[in-house]
Order: sequence, then C-alpha cells, then structure tokens
Amino acid sequence: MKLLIRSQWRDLISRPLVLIALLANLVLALFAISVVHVAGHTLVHEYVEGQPQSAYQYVVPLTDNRESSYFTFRERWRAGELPEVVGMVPVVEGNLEISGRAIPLIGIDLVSDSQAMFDLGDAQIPTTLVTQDSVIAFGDDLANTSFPNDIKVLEFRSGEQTFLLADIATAQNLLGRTGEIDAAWLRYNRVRAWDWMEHLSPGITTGLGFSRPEISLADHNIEPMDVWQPTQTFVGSIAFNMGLLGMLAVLVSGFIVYESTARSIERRAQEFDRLQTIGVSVLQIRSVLILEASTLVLFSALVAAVVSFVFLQLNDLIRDVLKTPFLIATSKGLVLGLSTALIGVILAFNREVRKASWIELVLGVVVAVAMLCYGIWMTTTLFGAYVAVFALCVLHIVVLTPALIRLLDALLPRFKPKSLISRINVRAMWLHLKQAKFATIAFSLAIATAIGITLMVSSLRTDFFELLEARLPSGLQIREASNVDPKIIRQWTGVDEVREYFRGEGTLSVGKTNVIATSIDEYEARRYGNENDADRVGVYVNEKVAAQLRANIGDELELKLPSATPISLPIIHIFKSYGEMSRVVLLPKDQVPSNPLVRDRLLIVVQPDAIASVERRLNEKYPSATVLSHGEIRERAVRIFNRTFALTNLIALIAVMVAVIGLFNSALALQSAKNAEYRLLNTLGFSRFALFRQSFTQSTLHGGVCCLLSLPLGIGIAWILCELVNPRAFHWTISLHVAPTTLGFPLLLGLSAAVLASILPWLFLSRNPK
Amino acid sequence: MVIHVQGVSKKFPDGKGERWVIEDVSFKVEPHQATVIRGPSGVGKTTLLNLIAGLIHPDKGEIELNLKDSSGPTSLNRLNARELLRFRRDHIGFVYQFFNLVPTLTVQENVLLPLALTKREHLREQAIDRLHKLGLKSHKNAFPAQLSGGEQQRAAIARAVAHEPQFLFADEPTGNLDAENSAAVFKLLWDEHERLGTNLVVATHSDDIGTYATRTIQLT
Ligand SMILES: Nc1ncnc2c1ncn2[C@@H]1O[C@H](COP(=O)(O)OP(=O)(O)O)[C@@H](O)[C@H]1O
Ligand SMILES: [Mg+2]
Repeated sequence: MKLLIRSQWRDLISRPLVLIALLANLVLALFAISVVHVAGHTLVHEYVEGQPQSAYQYVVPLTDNRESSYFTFRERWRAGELPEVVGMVPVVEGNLEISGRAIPLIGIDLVSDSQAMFDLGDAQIPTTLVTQDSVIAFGDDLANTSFPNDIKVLEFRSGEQTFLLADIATAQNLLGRTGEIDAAWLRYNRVRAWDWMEHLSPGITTGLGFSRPEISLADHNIEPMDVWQPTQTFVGSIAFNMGLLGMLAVLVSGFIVYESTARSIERRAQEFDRLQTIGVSVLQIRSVLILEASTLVLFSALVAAVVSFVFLQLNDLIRDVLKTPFLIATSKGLVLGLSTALIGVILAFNREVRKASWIELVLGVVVAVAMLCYGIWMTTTLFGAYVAVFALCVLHIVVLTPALIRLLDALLPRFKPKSLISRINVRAMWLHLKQAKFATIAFSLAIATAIGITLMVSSLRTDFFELLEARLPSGLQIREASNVDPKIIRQWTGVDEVREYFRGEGTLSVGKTNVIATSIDEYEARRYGNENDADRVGVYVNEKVAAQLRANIGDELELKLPSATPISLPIIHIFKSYGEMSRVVLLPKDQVPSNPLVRDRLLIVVQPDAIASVERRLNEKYPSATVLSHGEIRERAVRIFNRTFALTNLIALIAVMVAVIGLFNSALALQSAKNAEYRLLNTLGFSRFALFRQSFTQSTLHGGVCCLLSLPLGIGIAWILCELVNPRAFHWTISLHVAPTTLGFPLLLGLSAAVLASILPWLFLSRNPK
Repeated sequence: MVIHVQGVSKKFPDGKGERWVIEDVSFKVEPHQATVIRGPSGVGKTTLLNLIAGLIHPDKGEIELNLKDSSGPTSLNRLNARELLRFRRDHIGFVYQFFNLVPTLTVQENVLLPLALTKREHLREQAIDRLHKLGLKSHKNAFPAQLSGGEQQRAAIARAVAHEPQFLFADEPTGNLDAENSAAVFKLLWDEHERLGTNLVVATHSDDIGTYATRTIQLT
C-alpha cells in the first residue's frame, strides 16, 4: 500500500502542470464558495439580524392605533389564545424629520417582553435607553448628522439600514403620538426546523420559499415579520442567488475532477492491470486514487481558506462577529469539495460500464421536462426557478450534447474538405470534443451560465437605464430640504418649476411600505412611465406592492399612514423600481394629510443651460441642504448598479475559469498522444509554425463548437433569470433583450478561453516535437 | 555515392553531464543500395538515422547527400530549418517502429498526405494501386486505430513511398510485429526499394534482415 501511494505520488508530480491546474481548479471553486457564503451572511446579518425586530416573527397591526386595542389583544393572549406565542411588545413607528430627512423611528416597550428586553436580536439594548429618554441611531449615514436638541442620542451604531430605536414612551413623545400604538410584535416559541439551514447557506430558507405557519386570531390580522418587512426576503434572495453561483463553481470543478481521474485511469490502465496480476486488489488501487483526490481537496481547501480570508479582509466583508461564518464557509467548502471530488473519482471508476439505454434516456428527459414544468408553472419559489435552470442543464447534458455529437457523427464522414490538413483539423476537433466530453460539458455549462448572467444583467441594465432616463430628466434635486422655500426658488431665472416630495412610511394589508406624496400630474406621469391618462385621481405603486397584493390597475389600495384615518384610492399605474428593497406607494399630495410625512426633497425643473448657475445659487443660499443634479444621481445609480453586479460577475468568471482550467487539463492529457503525431508530421515536413497553426485551428474549432453548444442553454438560463428569478426574488420584471452584441462578449470570452486552454499545453509540451 | 557520412559524432545530455552516443562514424552509400544499420539496442541506430534525415544536427562531422535535382552534393549542416524541412518533405520517406499514421486521417488519406505536401498529385493512381496490392483495399477508408499492427506497418510503407522519395528510412519497422508479419514487411520494403530504385536505409537489431541487405553497417 505504501509503495502504491508512493507510485501514485510520483505519477502526480511527474505531471506538474496537470497537478497545478487541478489544484488551481479546486482552490478557485472553494474560494468562490467561501466568498459567496461570507458575503451572503454579511448581507443577511447587516440587514436582518442586526434589526430589533429579528427576535420577533409575527406582527399584529392595530388599525385603530389605540393602546386599549393592544391591551385587549394582550389579555386574550394571556388567557391562553395563541399558545405558541411566548412574548410580545407594543410598537410605535413613524418618521422623524432630522436635518431635513425623514428618518424612521421605532419605539418598543422594552419592559413588556422580559426575555427579549436586553437582547433584541443581535442589537444589545442598554437599560439607559428607557431611563434616559434617548434613542440609538442605527446606520452609517447617521454618524455625521446633527440631531435637534430634543433628541438625545445614546449611541451610534454602524449598519446598512438607517433608523432610530427608542423606548415606546420616548418614541410616542418624539412623534407627538402619545398613547398610540401601531402594532404588536410577537415572539414565537418554535424554532423553525429549518433555521439551521441558514447557517449552512445564507438565504436558503428564502430561496426554498419556507414561510412561517399562518397563525390567526379572530378580529386580528397576523402577518409574518418577513412579509411585513420585505428587506429580509430581498436580502435572502440575493444571498440565495449568490450561493447557487458558488455551488456552480464547485459542480464544474466536480466535472473536472471526474475528467482528470478518468484520464489518469485510462492512461494507466495497463499499469493498473499489471498491478492486479501481481496481487494488488482493485479496492487498493481505488483507495489510493480516493486518497489522492482527498489530499488534493484538503490542500486546496487550506489554500482557498487563506486566499478567501485575505480577499474578504481586503473587501471589508469580514468583521469580528463574522469569524464563525468564515469557519462554516471554509468547512462547507471542504465538505462540498470532498464530496464532489469523491463522487467524481468514484464515477470515473465506473466510466466504461455501459451507455445509458434509450429507456433511461427517455426517462431522464421526462423527469427533466417535469422539473422544468414544475419550476415554471407549479411553484412561485426562487428554488423552483432554479429547479427549472437545473432541468435545462440536464436537458443540455442528456439531449442537446449527445444530439450534437450524433449529428456531427453523421455529418462529419460526409464533410470532406479538399485539403487533407483541414480534414485532420476537423476530425481532431471532433475527437477532442468526444474524448474530453466531460470537460466539454463543464465548459459549456460555465459558458452558458456566463451567457445567461450577461444577458440578464445587460437586459436589466437596458431597462434600468431607460428608467433612470425617464425618472431623472434634466434638473436638480435638493435633499434634506425642509428649510428651503420653494416660492423663492421659483422666482429665479432659468427655473421652470419647483416640485415638492413628501416621504414617510405607511402600512398596507401585507405590511409596511414607503410612501411618497407629490402632485401626480403629467410631469410625474412621464417620470414614472404612465402612458395612460394622467388626469385620473389615484395612486402609483411599484411592482412589489402590486405583486404582493395581487392587485391590478383599477383596484382600490387601502393605505394607513401613522395617526391618520386609512385612505382608499384606486391604483392607476404600476411602476418599475429596480434595486428598491421596499414597497413604494406614490400618493397624490392633495389626498393625504401631510403631517405624518416629511417634505425631504425638492425637484427643480431647470432649463438645461441654467443648471450650473442654479446649482451654485442653491449651494450658496442653503449650505446645509444637499443639492444634486440629476446627472450626478444617475451616475451614482450606475455606480451602485455596477458594484451590485461586481460580485456576481466575479463568481461567474470564476466558474468560467474553473471550466477553462478543466479544458486546459484535458488538452494537456490529450497532448501526450498529440506529441507523437506532431513528431510524425514534423518528419513529413510540417514546420513548427504549421503545427502551431494546426493546433490553433483545432482549438478554435473546438471552442467554437462548445460556444455554439452553450448558446441555447445560455439563452434559456437568461430567460429563467429574467422571467422567473427576478420577479420571484425581487418582484420586478425585466424584458429579456438578446442583442448579438451582448452575446458577443461571453462567446468571445469562451472562444478565446478555449483556444488559450488548448494552445498553452502545446506551448508547454511541444517545445521539441521529437 | 548518394550518402556520405564523414566523422560524425553526436552527444546527448545525460543526467548532469553529456554522453557521446555516436563517435566518429563514417561511411558511404552508393546509389540504389539497401543499407542495414545493425547493433544492439541503445547503440545509437535511431540517432544515426535521425542525423541522416536531418531531424537532428551532428556535433561533429558532416553529412552530404547527392540529391536528384541538384548538381553537387548537399551538406545537411548548411541547410537552414526551412530547407531541411523541404528536404525531408521532398526526398525522404520514413517508417518508424510505431505511430506512423496520422490517427485522424483514413488509411488512404494518410497515403495521399505526402502527395499533397509535395504537390505530386500525379502519383495518386499509383499510390492507391499500391495500397490495393498491399491488401489494404478493404481498409482504405478505415482509421489507423482500426487496423492491426501489421496492416498499420504496411500502410506506413505505402505512405512512406507514395511520393516516390529518393531515400527511404526505416527505424525498427518490424519491432512491434510477429515473425510472419516482420517477414512480410521486410519483403515489402525491399520490393518497393527495387521497384522505385530508392536508397533504403533500415535500422534494426534483428538478424532476419541480413539476407536482403546489400550493405551492412554494424554499430557497436
Ligand atoms: N533526445 C535524447 N536525449 C538524451 N539522450 C538520448 C536522446 N536520444 C537518444 N538518447 C540516448 O542515446 C542512446 C542511443 O539511442 P538510440 O539512438 O535510440 O539507440 P537505438 O536506436 O540503437 O536503440 C540511448 O542511450 C539514448 O538514451
Ligand atoms: Mg531505436
């Protein structure tokens, strides 16, 4: 056994390129898993777990806002109704105007739920919050804000979400709503059976569409917190999407391990046969191969851990609290890497067993089609959308790829280019495609993913930019604008109009919503893309509101603003709001009381040539307000857009790189056979350059066929991403644009990668073709 | 005289140092001779053949060949890479111990390859005829991997002589074959050598060939 291991080891290091490629492969895949996990966890942590409501699972809105309703509800619970609820707190919410901005304030009665009192989720709350009538300011962007004197800030906490937390009495005072209560948050006694899964893969429960059981009490509407507060679902969906991308990299590397083991077994078949004749058992040989694969994965996991730690540190994604997720991520990568590698190795042993029969093939197709149907029509979960993607991949592997191979098999003998050299090239490409079938599949899967993501992102970009174009016509915005007098500005030269925007939070039957009130006229209709008649009175809602209420244009929208009677208005337009986590309702200003809302924004419609001078004048007159031109806002939005997809692109690129290394590896393995051929052609009078040209032609052909192969799958993935994943995850719709120029980039990437992957071994190995 | 080897030596890197594999070898080959290079394995037969074929360069000495279409003798040392390539393509047929055929070309295409490279398409009919005579008619559209070792070597010879080169070199052409096939292959080499009047040089460590040789060079 020891000797066997030693021989295996020598064989491994005798091919350093293969070894390096294999390791690079695994390291990249495990790196992707780690980064994706920690990034997902960070996201969920910042947006969800750091929130005070994360310790509560349900919300009971109190429509009349009366303290007495809360007490009646509490009495019923005390009396034994809702036995699963183990604690509750009354909550008041509203917006405070701070430096001209509407900042959400959450007031909780910290003493009414003893267990949660000092431990609201991860937000450790000091008792002084109650005794000193103060607030805690959450959110990085509050750190430099100056607070009015009547608001005592106990401490500032960093985070992505901006809000203030106070004891309920303090909050009622600050909001001027003494004695009012908006809702009760309920703590549920059951830990969800699947909660642990979140640790394994952030966002997975969102992706799988696991929701809390409905609980009900007569006369009360009880909503799950994650529905009430849509941030959690939004963030969970992002984490889930990223997690799957990371898995893809591991899957692709599994194919590569399979391919390279199969190749190594093939290459050493005689040696293994001979070993068996001298009494080495098959089991022993297999154990050695498994040991080898495990060692490689272990080593790669180590390297990947170091690399991803450095990467995460550099990107500020890892903080002290997140060391545990990093460990989980690393061990997850290790376990996944080990199991995929082992499956790859074990499958490679049984490579020659038999070909799938027709029945099995048909069965596979039927199952795949069934999965596709399920994912598209029978479920609305994000997971379902990815089941559909998976089904497409299966169809790609069991139908499209073999069909292409058969087609070429039938066509190629008939296809006889005049020149014998072209014949060599076409057939060699063909052989390469067949011999390295799994590398080819892995490669086409990765390229298809790249195509899918590129198409989706570029479609989103097109729609998003169109939206920005309409939403931000030439003009200026003033934020934190409470002290700015629109009447004065209207007099200025170059100013056509000054429009006022009021902001705040309200509640719909499904949960909280952002509210914007302004005059909904022709100008606003153009901004929000409403092409119907602008004269009708009603509200605009974003796609998220429409989807969650299952509402259409014409339906009545019931909206409650803090300390105001509920409003009911027809929906007259549904608008897109890419990148918006929350529900948004746009109200006609004259239909709502303005006191629960803060006028935080002015839009100044300026003649294009006057923008600079008006901006200068505004800055001089109102130094505390933030003045932004729509051009700047657009630029900022584009920057955020690009940053958002940077990680997606990185992970997709890693998957492609893993696949390319796999292709490189298989090209390397095929090269040893090629070398004899090159020597032969060299004696026949081929120059080195002619040989290179041949190798290049073959690789280009091979890459071209692979890219062509991945095209249908890529477009299919893009379609699912646009039609299913985005609406299900974020409730916005994207129209898929398949522009040849957009396809060009991933195809070119694939082609050049394939060519590079097969040319490099040639350069490494055939220095001297003798 | 068509081949003139004068005091040729060749060294190879060997571990840390160098080793002279061929030292001061000289011989002449007259036109239409069948020369056999003999010697035990590892003595340098392949190296010598590669030197004469211009695949590698001697460290000392000179190799001159009298080519059909040039007036004086040609010294391989003085040819540049491109000229060497053309020399090999136009004037030499080579048969190795194995891997003589391009795996992605059919037997017939393999045989026609040298014709395409040397633009001697007018030899096409003869080349195909020869293939038929060698009993490969039914295999001509098969790929090399589908042929037995003996068939492969026969096809290899058909390919090596297709463009009717002035020189035919064979390096252990029967090394992989059984006695019966070996005899057939040797006979074939000699038949072609006589029919085309090529200058045949065969390197081998076996003795069966002795009867055919008009000239033997023993390496020790
Ligand atoms: N490219 C090379 N590099 C180093 N040593 C070589 C090379 N080619 C041949 N040799 C050495 O030269 C010696 C002669 O080889 P070869 O000509 O193949 O012998 P033969 O064909 O007679 O069996 C052998 O010992 C071999 O190891
Ligand atoms: Mg030899």
